[in-house]
Amino acid sequence: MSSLGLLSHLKVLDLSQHVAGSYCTRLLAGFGAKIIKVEQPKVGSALRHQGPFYHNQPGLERSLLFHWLSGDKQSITLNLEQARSMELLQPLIAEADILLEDFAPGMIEQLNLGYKALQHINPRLVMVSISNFGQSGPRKDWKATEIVLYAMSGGMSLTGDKGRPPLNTGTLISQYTAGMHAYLAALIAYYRCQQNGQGEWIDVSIQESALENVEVKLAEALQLNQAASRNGDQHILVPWECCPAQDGYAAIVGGPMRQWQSGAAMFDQPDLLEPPLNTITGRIAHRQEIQSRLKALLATQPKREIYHQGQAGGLAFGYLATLAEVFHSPQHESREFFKPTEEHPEVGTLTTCNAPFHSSHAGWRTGRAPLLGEHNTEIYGDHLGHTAEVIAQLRQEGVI
Amino acid sequence: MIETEMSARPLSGIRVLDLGHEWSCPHTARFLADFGAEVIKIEYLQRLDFMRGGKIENRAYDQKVSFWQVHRNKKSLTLDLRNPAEKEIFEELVAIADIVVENSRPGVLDRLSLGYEKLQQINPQIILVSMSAFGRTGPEASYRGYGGTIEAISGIQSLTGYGPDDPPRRIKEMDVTNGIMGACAAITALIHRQSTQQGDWIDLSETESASHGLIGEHLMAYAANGESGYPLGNRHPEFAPQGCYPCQGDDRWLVLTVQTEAEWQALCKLLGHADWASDQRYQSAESRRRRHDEIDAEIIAWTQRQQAATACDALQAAGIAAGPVMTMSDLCQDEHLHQRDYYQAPAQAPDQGQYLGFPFRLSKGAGQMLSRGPDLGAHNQEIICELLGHAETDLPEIKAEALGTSLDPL
Repeated sequence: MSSLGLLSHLKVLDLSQHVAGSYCTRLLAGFGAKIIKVEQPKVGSALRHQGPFYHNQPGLERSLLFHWLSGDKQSITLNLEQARSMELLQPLIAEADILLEDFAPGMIEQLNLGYKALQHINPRLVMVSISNFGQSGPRKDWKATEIVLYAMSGGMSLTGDKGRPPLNTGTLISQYTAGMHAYLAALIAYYRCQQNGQGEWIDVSIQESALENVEVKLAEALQLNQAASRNGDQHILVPWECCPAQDGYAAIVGGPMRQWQSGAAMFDQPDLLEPPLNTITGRIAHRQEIQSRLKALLATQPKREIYHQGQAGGLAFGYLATLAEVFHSPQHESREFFKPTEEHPEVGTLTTCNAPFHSSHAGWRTGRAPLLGEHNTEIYGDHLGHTAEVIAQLRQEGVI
Repeated sequence: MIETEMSARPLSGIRVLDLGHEWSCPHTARFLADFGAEVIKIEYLQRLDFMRGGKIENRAYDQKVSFWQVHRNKKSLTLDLRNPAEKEIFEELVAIADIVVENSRPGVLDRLSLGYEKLQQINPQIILVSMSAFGRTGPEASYRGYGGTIEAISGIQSLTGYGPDDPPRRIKEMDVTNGIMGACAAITALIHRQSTQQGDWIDLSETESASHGLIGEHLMAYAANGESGYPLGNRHPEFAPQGCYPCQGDDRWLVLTVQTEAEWQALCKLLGHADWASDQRYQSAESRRRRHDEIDAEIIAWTQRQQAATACDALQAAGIAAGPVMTMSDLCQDEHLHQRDYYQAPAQAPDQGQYLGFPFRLSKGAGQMLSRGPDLGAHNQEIICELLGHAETDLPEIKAEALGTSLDPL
């Protein structure tokens, strides 16, 4: 394995400051790309102000959302509203392969950083614009938070129980989904640019991106005019749900179907293996009976035992893990899914996830997040050749 | 809107062999197909893909919308990889392919003598993306997992529910999350190959990938602060109010989040509660979190009298992040998506109705919806005879009585 990442030849200029853009550049950074993150002087990226915080104390260098998303990036400060910012930014645009931004639509043009202007500086540039609802359309200026994005991309109408309100998730799923798509968009455009020498502009609408999450239900609505609604977690197949166990919940996932005979033998109830319960339609027809019988059988057993027994019989059982339990998973330990970051001056060493997937050539970087403006001297001075006096003056004038 | 000048599609010239089944890996291949790769779905007649359903009569397996969507823009080739002659056809395809994607349990390809080493012997630049529930190493490598397994065991499900003491609820989209991450893996390896000419073997654990792609900050926070997250229902850990509120009509709802003091003042005005705007008891998100129930009751009194769309327009005009909870049918009719030409009819058969568009747009031309998921074996002749030059006698036979499905015994 090489110490250089798969993408170590890529240079990225990151003007984004929310979750989607930052997860996109976190993936690029993890695989070795060089990321220069441009932050507003003194205030920093919006992420620095969002929790959770280290030891629950807010502070510019303490947001764990920022730490998670900013490892292995360099930070420079630059006030894009100041005219002089352009002379500093221009050489960085000229050498970048990919540029990301997530301002409200129209804002980037107001900053004179629209695609036409940037294309003029660097015709090979791949520019990714991320926004809530896209660069056009009647709702392009709508404000959104995660719950709004989840509600407006269909997922929320399907989550939760009948007779209760639709339910938000405990994650930032819409924004993370858009982050992965921004990563894909940037790389396939880069791939094409390597062949035809032309950069391009990409419009990532978080709403459209998150519609992928409901692709089957939405296709069924388009094709069959078929409605879908939230139904607790009643899966069409039986059993396929979390059941209370002695110490939490076991995930009783009764597939693959061909393994029912060997898997369900663990329950020691011969009729579960005979007609009508030996077929999937038979079990669906006796949904409530199966559910109440399994619940009674499982309530006194530890969830991990149920998990291993079901898996030994070939069924895809699991258990509901708390975050604490996730850290004790022997599988995660064996694969070193959690890694320490480099020491950070304010919060020390944190624990971060290893790669989302493993290559046979190169690993994933688990470096730390940068301090606000930590790389000003390196980038503006060493790299662009500005003198210490000029940098001090730029700082004094509030440009950097 | 971004103006599009068409170039060759981004992945045109790339050939992908899709050994995937169920949803995650097929979604990976669908992404590659949407953006121009030639994707050949390998189908096993004795166990038809889950998305083809459980019925054989009258070719019901060619009529499933789930299959049409998840396998759109692909070609269908039926091969039994245990049959030496048909395995040989697969190996001939490997020789002229760029990417193979698969989500069988670790070891299955090896048992077919089609593991990475063998594929690499046939084609040194091949990229193999192996997706599995838990990865190909470790004590649980051989364990099985569906979305319901992965969402629970990854810790993701522990964060979703109506409240800390309510039963956990599922998001249910782990397959798509992992399918997208599978595409990230394929494209990352492709970019690396573009500059180094090296193939690769990717090991993607869907438990790791979903955790990475959804709850990285929660895991980091647990390790740093030692507090396990718990479900907050529709509330926000910092901002208040945030929630989901009933509107006029049957099962109609809107959501909103107040993120600043100025937005709170604007909301008070809309609610006709000018007195709250200056009331110390409601200043700061922290104090509003303590009175969330009381505030929710007033918001409900206001939303219940209105259509969700009207109320959301008013909230947005006042600068507050808000939106209707959109059902599938709302999305189908949505004016914003229609003005952006989001929905697509298959270019090769425009009478076959509409499908989802693409997750993003590229100015030099991006996704294309050419065809819905293919009929079983629709491209056997094209691939085996025309592409590989075999005689018609080499075509696999599709006998209805020999077909099986993933839902057997039904």
